Amino acid sequence: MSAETSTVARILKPTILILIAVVAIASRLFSIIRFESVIHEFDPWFNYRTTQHLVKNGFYEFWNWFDEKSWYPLGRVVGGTVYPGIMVTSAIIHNVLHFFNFPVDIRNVCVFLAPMFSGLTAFSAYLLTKELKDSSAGLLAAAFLGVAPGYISRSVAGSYDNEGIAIFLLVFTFYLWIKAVKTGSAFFGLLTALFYFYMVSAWGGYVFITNLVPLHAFTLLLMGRYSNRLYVSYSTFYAVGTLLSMQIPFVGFQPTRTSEHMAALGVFGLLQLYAFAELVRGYVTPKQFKTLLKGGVSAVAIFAVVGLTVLSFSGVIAPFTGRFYSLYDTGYAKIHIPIIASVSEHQPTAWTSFFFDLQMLIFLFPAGVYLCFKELKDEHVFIILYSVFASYFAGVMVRLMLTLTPVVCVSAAIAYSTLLDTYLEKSEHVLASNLAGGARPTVAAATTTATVTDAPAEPKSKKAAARAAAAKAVESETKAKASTKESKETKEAKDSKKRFPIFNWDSRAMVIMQLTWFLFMFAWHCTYVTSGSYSSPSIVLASRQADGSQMIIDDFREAYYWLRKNTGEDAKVMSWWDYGYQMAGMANVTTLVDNNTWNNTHIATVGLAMSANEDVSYQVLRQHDVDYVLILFGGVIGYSGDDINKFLWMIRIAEGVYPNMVKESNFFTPRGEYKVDHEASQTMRDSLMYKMSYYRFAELYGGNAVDHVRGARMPAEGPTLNVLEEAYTTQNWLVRIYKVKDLDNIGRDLKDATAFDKGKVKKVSSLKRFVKA
Amino acid sequence: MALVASATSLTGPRTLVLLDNLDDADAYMDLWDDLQSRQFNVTLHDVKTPVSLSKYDQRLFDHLLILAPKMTAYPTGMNAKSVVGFVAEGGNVLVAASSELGNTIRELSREFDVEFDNRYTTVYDHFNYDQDLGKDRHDTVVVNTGTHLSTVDAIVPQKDIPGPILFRGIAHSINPSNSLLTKVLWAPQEAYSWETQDGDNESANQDPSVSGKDISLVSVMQARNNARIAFLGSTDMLTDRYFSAPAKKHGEKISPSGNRKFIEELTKWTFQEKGALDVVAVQHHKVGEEEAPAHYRIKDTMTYTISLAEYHDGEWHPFSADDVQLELIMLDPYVRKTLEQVPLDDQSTVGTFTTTLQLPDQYGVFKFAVNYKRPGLTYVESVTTVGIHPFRHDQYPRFISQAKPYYTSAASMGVGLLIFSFVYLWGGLESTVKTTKKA
Amino acid sequence: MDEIKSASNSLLASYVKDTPKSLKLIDAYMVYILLTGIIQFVYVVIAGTFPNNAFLAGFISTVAGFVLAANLRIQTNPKNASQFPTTSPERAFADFLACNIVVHFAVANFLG
Repeated sequence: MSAETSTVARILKPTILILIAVVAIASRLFSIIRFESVIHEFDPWFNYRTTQHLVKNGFYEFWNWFDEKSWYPLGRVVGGTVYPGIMVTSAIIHNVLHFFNFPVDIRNVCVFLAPMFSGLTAFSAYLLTKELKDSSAGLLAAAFLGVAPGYISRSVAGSYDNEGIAIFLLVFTFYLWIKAVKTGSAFFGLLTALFYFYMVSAWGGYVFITNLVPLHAFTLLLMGRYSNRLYVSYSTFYAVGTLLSMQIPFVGFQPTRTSEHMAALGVFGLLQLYAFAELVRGYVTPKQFKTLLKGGVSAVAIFAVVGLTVLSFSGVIAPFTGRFYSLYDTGYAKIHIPIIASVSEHQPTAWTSFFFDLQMLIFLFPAGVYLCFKELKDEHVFIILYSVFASYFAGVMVRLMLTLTPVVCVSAAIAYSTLLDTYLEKSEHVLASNLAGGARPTVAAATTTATVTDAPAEPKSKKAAARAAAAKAVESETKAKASTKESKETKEAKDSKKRFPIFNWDSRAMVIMQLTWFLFMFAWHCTYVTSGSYSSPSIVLASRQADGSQMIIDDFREAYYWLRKNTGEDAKVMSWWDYGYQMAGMANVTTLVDNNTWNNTHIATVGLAMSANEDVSYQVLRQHDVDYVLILFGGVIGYSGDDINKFLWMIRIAEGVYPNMVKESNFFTPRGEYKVDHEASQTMRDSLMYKMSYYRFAELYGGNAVDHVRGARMPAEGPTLNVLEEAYTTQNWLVRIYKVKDLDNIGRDLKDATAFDKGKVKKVSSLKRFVKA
Repeated sequence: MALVASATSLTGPRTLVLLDNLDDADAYMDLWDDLQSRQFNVTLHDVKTPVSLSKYDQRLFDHLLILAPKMTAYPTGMNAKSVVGFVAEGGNVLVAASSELGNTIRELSREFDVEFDNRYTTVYDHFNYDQDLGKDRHDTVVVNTGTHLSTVDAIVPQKDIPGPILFRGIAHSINPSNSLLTKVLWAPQEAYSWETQDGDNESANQDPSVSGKDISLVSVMQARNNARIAFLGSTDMLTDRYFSAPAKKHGEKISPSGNRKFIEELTKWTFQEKGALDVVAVQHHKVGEEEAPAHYRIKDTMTYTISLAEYHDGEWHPFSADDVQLELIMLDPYVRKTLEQVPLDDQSTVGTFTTTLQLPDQYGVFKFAVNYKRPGLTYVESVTTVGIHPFRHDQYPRFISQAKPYYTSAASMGVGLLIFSFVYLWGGLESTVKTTKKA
Repeated sequence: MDEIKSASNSLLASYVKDTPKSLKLIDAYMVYILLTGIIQFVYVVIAGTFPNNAFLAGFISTVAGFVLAANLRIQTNPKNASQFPTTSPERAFADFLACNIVVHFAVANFLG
């Protein structure tokens, strides 16, 4: 019987994993099916452009690529400022497919990369949880992680961002690390280091691994659980991993210099000393060992303290960079680095996001952590640490919900699986072992476990099938492990511990049905959230008209296509940095600033041009050879992510670098309100951004224009523009493009030139002015 | 009028002349002869007949002479905007005024930062008047070319003018801070502008609004697109009478007026027959190469060459100068170097200026700009945008001698590993210790 | 001080007596690596950190070599056999070689 169940289990497990992968991939395809197969987010367009460059020009060109079309005129050294992991992965997949004569376009490879890797992530979660508990918990973890919205949000098809492969690498690296600690094999340590290197090449969040693994090792040391396995695994990981990570130009020498990497180095040193001490202890008597130890520890401590202080004060070891420091001090970024603070993903998390992204897992999560405390082997310590720190970071920044999701799935799976174990195990076994009191019980043949999992006769959707299969697997796993459980129970029986199983079918059925209902709700919630919130492409907006039909707002692509077709090869377009990557990718124009935000002064200069009056802005525009200016204006259709709403951030950033020319308080009304109608302050009305946004807006509605985003009634007379002329406004007025005028041919002030063109002639004699001068 | 195919002017031969009425044309016969001898097609119009400067966005004429100071309204088909547009299209304009200047021309000139004095004012000078033409009212001023003519030889070369200029008309002033304007002829120190007197010589009882050197008599503007506009305060100085009249100033000997030559040189300049520069070619390449590379690398040495030609006397000649400068600009100039001229020989058709320099240590997108603006010559703004890249990963020095210890240590590590592996695997070492302790 | 001296003496004696030859070979190898590393470190203190990548490559190659040799020592020490149930000495050596190969590739890339 056991042979039969184990064969069944052996076939079921891979099938279930494959089904989970299919579900994971399928649930990420909503936006592709509804719209089309393009990169649906804005930021990934840069990754896409880089991948195109890599595929077209080869690896060395990519490694040395100096992009002249972004950050004009400073240019950007792409090779040294990018995490190449995702591009290299796509390029390799593309080349392999082409080698086998599958003519897959690079665009499709990029679009579908994240879903493919999500399947692999689910598999890694399975492996990780299998190490912690058993394979039934592993299957549950895989299923959870496959559909959890927290992970889906950054890995839908069409989102070609670093996190797509980084989360897979994160979970897999953690699995390898756990395996290495458990077996003490240098081979697994090496594999951990290699995948750590891959992770470093993929995402800036690799620092998480860099700090969590040493923390784990350190905690084990503190708990007195030093073992040779730990030494072997950590030393291999650190030595090989750090060396490999420095091969990425973007990381460079940071592991020796920055505070984020110092913890790993410290733990490494500590482990060496510890190992040496253990070695010595094997050779001498305890008393002698004590004396040696005292002398050694004091020497090392003095050396370490002095060395560290000197290095920190002399600046050799850099303090925490702003990005990471803001995780510790959440108010820091708003004051000192407004760019970091202005990104919406960097805001603190509201509690509703936790439920939205994780649903029932969020309350199973602490239960799972508690169960880890009960077991408390080395690997469980790791999960405990991971969960604590991931919870803190997820609370600080919305974006880091992503790193929390894997550990939540794993812990929740452990809790859920323990619950199912208790209520699904065959009561006869436990009873028999208790009664026998040490004799080896026979395996009961009945397999009359509750068949609630067979409830839906015809699984109508893949989700139901997956769940059914998962539940079945759990059930068969429990059966298949009956024998191992017996030996455990014999041991326990020997210790004369009496376990009282749950006998009654009705209490079992009630709990099992509840749990299955939870699974239903979870799957339904995840799909609903994915379909509704995380699958809307950002580049195409969809809304419902009054009669219920869908209206597609494709203004972004309309504007970029206009730019692509109607401007010269070298046209330089100025816009706020959010749109830099999209413009470069879709419109193929030279941009001044983009989402990389590496040069704050340049961004502040753009902010100055946007917020200053026309004369000052014109000087900045001419100095930077700007041909066109692009802004977003949502006042006609009510799109709230437009530039007037971001205007305050532009002002703040500009004020940080040009405090004499831009003052934030000037843009508010005397009462301190941010207004755009007739109450708007003079500075506000003179600013280039205001003029560009509301130019001819009043005429659109015959003088009764209402800005639908701010809910403001605009004055009947709109602003006049002298230094720009309108080049293109999209259908729904969402994107507006302006052309920068050349200096006037006969030397007039542009304001006068525009007035002259409108028919106003100068009537006042300037004779006195000329002569007096 | 006979249609002549080509003209000495670069812009073209079609010239439109606006007159108050066609009878006025008789007073300027010498002027028409001069223009036609230089192959201009002169079309005379009076301001009452409709005429248009452009059709279907194409210029119908190449030059515009406004000799209609009394004009109060534009002819149908023309307005101030079309004149400014005409200049923006490359057309050249010559505006001549008189004391009866109406507001139409005044407002047009205001757009060019040239301000004529009020209607019915004249330039008077009681010390420098011509004793024939200005005997009664002292309104015909004799202007000494040696002292009151612009020294910019490109416009009107001082030495070629045979005698003083006779002027009778209205004063104007130009905006001193407008760099596109140049004063060509200005009034003597004793001149002043006052209301035109009809008979009874009423003397000025207030400070005149403009006097002395501030009175411009002839000014020119070269627009940013190199179209040229000349403003003259007197229509009389273009007439046959003034061309042939001798200049008789009290205390100086009689000499023929220099008006004809002056107007000839002025119209030659205004109508793009001289003083025009052209950038014939721009080349840049790395030292030792021929073709321009797609981009440079920091600290490369490169050669920049620009060829300029100058137009005068109906053909292009090589241009010579010693102050042509090259700038490497990325938001701010990084390098500024004077180009050296390659010596001219008989075969040269262009003047070649070249230099070799080392690119700065800064990478980015740079503009190689030659910004040559000299009075009287067309503006030369040649910009070539080239990127300067940082070092490629394989352009760094391959082996650094200072790093020798590291190379040796890495090599020794590899060697040591090999030796160790051999000894370990095949050295026959036992892994357990023999407990041969002597009791 | 005397206690430390006597403790170290007995340590040395016990070491010489109790250690198998293969482990002693590994120890000798480790000492050699340690010396190479110390020489490099002294050099960088004197001569400055240019070129930093070469220094780090050389230094980390010694550190990694040292650590991997230590791993090998731990895994092949018969005293520790119970802690490593899945790793035979042959497997330990294979892992050691594999890790060293990866390290040397990385060092070669990083040096230049």
